[in-house]
Amino acid sequence: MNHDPFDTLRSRNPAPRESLPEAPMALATRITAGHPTLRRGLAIATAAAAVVLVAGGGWLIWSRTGGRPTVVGPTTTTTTVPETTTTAPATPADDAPTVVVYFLKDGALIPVARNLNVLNVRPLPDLGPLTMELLLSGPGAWDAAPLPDPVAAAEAELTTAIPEGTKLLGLTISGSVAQVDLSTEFAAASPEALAQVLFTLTRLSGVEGVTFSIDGRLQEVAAARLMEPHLVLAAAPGDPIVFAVDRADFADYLPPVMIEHPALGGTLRAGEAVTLLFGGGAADAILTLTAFDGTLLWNALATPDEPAYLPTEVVASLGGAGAWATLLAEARGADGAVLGTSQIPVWLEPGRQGEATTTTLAAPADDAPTVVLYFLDAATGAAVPVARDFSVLNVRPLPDLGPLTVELLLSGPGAWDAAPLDPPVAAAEARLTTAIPEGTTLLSFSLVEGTATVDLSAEFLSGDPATRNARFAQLVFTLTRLEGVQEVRVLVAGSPASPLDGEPGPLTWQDVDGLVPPTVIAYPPLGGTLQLPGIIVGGGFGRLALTLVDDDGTTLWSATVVGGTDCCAAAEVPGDLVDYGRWVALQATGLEGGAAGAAFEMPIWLEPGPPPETTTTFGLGDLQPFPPDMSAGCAPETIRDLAAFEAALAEGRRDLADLCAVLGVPDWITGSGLWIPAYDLADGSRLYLGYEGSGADGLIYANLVSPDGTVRDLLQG
Amino acid sequence: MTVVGAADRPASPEARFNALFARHYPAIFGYAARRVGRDDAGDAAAEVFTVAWRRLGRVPAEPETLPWLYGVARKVVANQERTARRRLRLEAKAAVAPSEALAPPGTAGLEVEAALLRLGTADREVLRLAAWEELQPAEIAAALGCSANAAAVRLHRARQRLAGELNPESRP
Repeated sequence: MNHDPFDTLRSRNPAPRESLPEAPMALATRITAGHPTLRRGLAIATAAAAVVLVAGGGWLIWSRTGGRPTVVGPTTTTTTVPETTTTAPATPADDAPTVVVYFLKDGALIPVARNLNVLNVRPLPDLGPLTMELLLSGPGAWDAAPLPDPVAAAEAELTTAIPEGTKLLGLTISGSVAQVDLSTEFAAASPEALAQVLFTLTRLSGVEGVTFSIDGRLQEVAAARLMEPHLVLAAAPGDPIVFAVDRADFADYLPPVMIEHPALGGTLRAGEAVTLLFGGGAADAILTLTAFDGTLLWNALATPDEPAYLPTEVVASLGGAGAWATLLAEARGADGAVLGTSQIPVWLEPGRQGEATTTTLAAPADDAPTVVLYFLDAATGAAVPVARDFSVLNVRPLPDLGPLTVELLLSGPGAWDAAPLDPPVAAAEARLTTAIPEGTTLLSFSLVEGTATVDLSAEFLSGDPATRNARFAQLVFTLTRLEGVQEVRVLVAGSPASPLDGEPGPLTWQDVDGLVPPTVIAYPPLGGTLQLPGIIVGGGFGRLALTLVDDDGTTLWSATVVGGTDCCAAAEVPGDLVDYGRWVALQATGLEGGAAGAAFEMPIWLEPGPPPETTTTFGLGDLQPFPPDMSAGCAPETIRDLAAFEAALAEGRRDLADLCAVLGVPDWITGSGLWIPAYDLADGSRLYLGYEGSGADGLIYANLVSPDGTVRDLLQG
Repeated sequence: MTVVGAADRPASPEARFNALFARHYPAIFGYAARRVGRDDAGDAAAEVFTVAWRRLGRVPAEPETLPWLYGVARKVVANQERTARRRLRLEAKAAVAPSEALAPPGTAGLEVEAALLRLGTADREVLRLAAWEELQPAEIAAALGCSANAAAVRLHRARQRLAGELNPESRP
């Protein structure tokens, strides 16, 4: 072979350019039903169900139901309906972010847990539609994060009876009845499929019954099948509640024993009851809890009247942290014969000891989920807070924020698998280092009463002892920055470890503060976002010069700040520096005091704050400053004489150039479809002129909106 | 007096995204198809563009947009392959290896593909980016997150190693 094999390779392109499909623009529309970084919180609030689509990783929904035109429009979700109960459709509390859906194993109903912590979307979408979408997607379709091995193995044995292609068209929860509207694929659903939907929806808090509609037509359930209603109900026309079915109607479809709580892959805490549902004449059940190595952990008898509670010492014997185990329930008849069994993987955890105790850290609550890691400035050794942004969807995090944060810290600066770091951040992180030795792994993480216990592998104490203190500083700074963590107990291979000359025991921020040179900029973190107006906080005391430099070298803002004796130097950055988000360099120079001589530069993402409050009367977009080049013909000064304006309207004057001569240059424009200049008046009210087109005929309203929100159309007189 | 309509205002994020999507979808679909097969390429491309939408403010301007998207696609594909491997292990059932998902044209050059598979992941990726995505070293650098110099050197070494795999005698 004499010629270059690279050319051969080139000729063997498995997907040559001419074979590629055109861009499916419908997909673009579905993607943009989410929201880009710059418009945080706009789309998310108005199109919660569309967020499900994005939140499911795109993967979940697209892989199962590609081509689906709609998911659940915001108008069909439950929270917008006045009579809706407030409990069921609420997004799950962050300390219990799990929903349960019902699939089939060997033809028998089985509840399966879906952990929502891995959905990197906050706020979480409406729980009702989200639960239904997860049910319709089928078992194993949860690819927002890899399922833990025992759960993935158990899910491989699950099936669903719900006809493929079934779409959720609507879900309303009124009182204790959920009214679900499904596409025509579901019309011929088997009793098992109906039972899956019924049990799933009645697992939502407050929901006891379900009505089924097919493509908007209410169905009657007879013999566990759907049929068109065959009688008109004169007593309650249009009242769907009479068609509702509940779990009792489907009792025949219960297996001899169903483990209702915990669900497959769900969590069972010490002290909690295992809840069982019995069917088929079962009288009681024997519960067996087995560790994965085959060790018997617990054995108990449960009856319909007396559930079994998991003893605290069972979990304590596992070392107090969580662990996977297998829960087996054997149903017995009155004569003691085994009627059937159910076996699921469950996650065991210590119980809650009062309100303050938590074993998992909620994912960040705001819509820009970020954790902050502390690395070291390679030049000075000072601790530098660094932001890690979770808004990237394809990240596959551990579901719990605590261990995830430690893992990210251990992987060092520059390592971020979710998306390429933006170039300014990548360049800045290249100037950072970590004192934590390579190869250190996280053995366990737990959080009780504000004390995080982190068990690390022996590598943590290896290497140069001179950097040992800095390791502790990085770890404690990072973890105490998480909400709910006040102190950190560091274990190495199970034994307490401490900084040099330190006492073993929980460490607070203050305990490690002196172990490394002081942080120059404490907030925002390197690579973090500063929304304007915002505050920059120095880490050290003394006098500090701060400068924000645009990417073309322009100085956007600078200030000299002085820290007090008990706090840090801080400066407020004004709100009008930028009109769109971009990277800028934050430069800090220590002038005198504790920070003297320090020089530091890092990238931050600067973005404008939320737009000024707009009235919702029109809903026609954000207000933009009125461009000066459009004020030709307008009065040079702002007059804002409402009486003169009304007189001009009364004379039939409509053209904006003409009205401008009376009122002056508008302050704002807005509108989509319409063109709407707006004037702020001295009394706090605002005048909107709605133009449908240019010229005198175009003015369709002149709305005066008072500070209290009342609207008066001056055109109507 | 000119009345300016909404259309004259700066492009909305949706419009910017749609333009980017229309321009680059085929290339990203192709990238995914070459690595995970056509069946899964649509999912991967959708995920790549979902990332782009959510980070629209940080997507670099042309001509760096496509290399940036390739960089995201690389991570997405790696995640999908991890998931696929997990499934294989769990279900212990035969599945189509990514490189077999598409029937290669003709039968010539099989040795080249076999040799490609024997190379390290990094070499393989840099060769594919150059041969199939037809990227220049500077663009490869943007996709891999390294400097253009490093990309050129990596490509050169990978080509040498590919040749070495095919001619064992000439190996250094």
